[in-house]
Amino acid sequence: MDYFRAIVKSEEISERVFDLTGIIIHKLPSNYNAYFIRRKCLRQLKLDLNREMEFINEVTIANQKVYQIWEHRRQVIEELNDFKGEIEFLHKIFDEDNKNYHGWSYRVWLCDRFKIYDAELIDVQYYLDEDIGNNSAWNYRYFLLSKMPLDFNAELEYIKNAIRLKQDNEAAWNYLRGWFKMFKFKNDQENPYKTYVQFNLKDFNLLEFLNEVGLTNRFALSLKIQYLLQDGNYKDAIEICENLQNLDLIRIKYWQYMKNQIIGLIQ
Amino acid sequence: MKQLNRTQNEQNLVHSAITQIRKQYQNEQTEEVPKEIMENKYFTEYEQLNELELLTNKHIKYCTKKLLNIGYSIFYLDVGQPWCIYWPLNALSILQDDVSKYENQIIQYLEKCKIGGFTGGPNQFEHLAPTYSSLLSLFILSTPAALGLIDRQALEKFFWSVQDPTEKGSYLMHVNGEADIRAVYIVVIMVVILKLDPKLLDGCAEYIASCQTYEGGIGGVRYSEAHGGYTFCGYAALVCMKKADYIDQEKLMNWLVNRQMENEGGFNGRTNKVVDACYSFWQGAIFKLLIQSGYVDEQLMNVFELKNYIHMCQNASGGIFDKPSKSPDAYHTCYGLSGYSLADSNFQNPIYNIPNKCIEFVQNFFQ
Repeated sequence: MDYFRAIVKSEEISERVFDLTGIIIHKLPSNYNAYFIRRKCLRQLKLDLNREMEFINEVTIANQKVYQIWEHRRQVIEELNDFKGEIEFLHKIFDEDNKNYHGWSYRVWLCDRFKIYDAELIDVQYYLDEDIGNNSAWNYRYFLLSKMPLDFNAELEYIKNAIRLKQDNEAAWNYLRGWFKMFKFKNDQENPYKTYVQFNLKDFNLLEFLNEVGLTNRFALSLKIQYLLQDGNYKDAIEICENLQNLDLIRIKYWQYMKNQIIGLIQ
Repeated sequence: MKQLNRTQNEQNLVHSAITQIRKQYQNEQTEEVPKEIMENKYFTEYEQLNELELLTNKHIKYCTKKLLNIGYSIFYLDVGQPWCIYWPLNALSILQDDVSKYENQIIQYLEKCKIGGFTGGPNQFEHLAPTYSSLLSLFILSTPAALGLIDRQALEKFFWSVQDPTEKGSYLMHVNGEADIRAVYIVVIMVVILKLDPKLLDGCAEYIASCQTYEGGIGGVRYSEAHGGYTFCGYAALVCMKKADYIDQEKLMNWLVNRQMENEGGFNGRTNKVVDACYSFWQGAIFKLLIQSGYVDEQLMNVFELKNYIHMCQNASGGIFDKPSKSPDAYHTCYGLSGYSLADSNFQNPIYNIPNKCIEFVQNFFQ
């Protein structure tokens, strides 16, 4: 370590220093100083980037949640301008932790960088089939579909079936809800810089489906409130809030807040 | 503290016993506990739960030991040494321990990590994370000597050097490093309190808003999944700039309240993930930020359940862990206690996560 600190000070760029950063990173993969120097060496000495990818794969497999190694990967792939093997590598990562945040964030970058949306939509299906509650995979699906031409009615059927499979799956409910504009109380506004796509809830009839799922599912009830609000049926919306105050005790104050907001609309 | 080693199934039963009791109270408006519940074997355990309390003195002892560890055998945190000051120091200050006795030692140490921004340790490069933890530690000390260590001009220069060249309003954690919402948060709150060049804030609110996801929380970068830590960073930065309404706050709140977990009472960081005591702060503080921004006027989380969860995450000899069965560490102790304090008191500032009285001192110092 002390030797490395001396190198940091001297700003030396050489193969010797390059090798040393490799040793340091193996010992402490979050050592950002070492990556900074390593990338300088890579660029200035024009070292083999494919060999560097082997090094990165090795370090990442042993340390899957380190910011620095993922950023290093991103920069090297950017420079290589070739994503061969990357999807397979991510598959290995998600095999161990299918919600690895770094892995999914990197995948968003990779997909956007190489414009592989269509292929990715097929690939992400694997993760949803494996675990329908995998919110990282749902989030990725949303990203993909907001970048592609979309048959939203087909997508709605897909979501409904997913919910039927596991009715208390918050990930699927959030995904469903995410496609719609929600009712705005007087002091709220849409996010003007949002990157997500949104439709009007009233253009799609989901009420039958919500009733089918049941009257004790808090996600279904919460979405039903949105329909009632948009119809101006405040009385029934308040009733559901009261119902939820009994059903969903941990959020008792939130449902009281919703109820008060709706009462405010009547007055 | 009573040991409660329960399986998930038992946990559910305890919760349903608690649920029944509450329902009864609500319906009959009575304080008397019904007989059938009194006889439920889990009710006795619920009573025990109610007796749990914060092990203040044990935590003070634990944090004191951690704080004195500065610079020794902390290999894992070799590139984040100022965290070893901030986490225990902030915890001690929340526990109302007198932190002034550490002033000289901390200043001497941080001096070795200072360039303009701060470094992960002596002879390293500047990095935003240790800059954040170093500055907050100096703010907590709140003395002219501590604040005198801050070189605002050099700090401003460092902030300019980590502007993201590819994205307006975004910052890198260090030169040539990764960009995410943490970096924006750190730059924004430090520019505001230290009254640095407001041009550094250009585009930040717009960039943060573009990272709000369809779920309502905020992701680390655009299109990434909504996550407690990044949502805190993004929203705290917006509230700090008085631009909270750049995002859809109703959506944010809907996501946020659903992060509190029915069975455990603590928060998870993302949809369908498991509870972790550190989110008592990252998620919990957002409730306070929603009040500060004027969006709501009261605490909407379930404070009782959260506190119970933190009680259960205490190590008998001090320190807080992620969840029962794990070992305590300074990180979870700091954020567990921060969440605990923020839930129902106004001691801590929800943007900076240091005491409000220190914020006042710093603001006046840099008039």
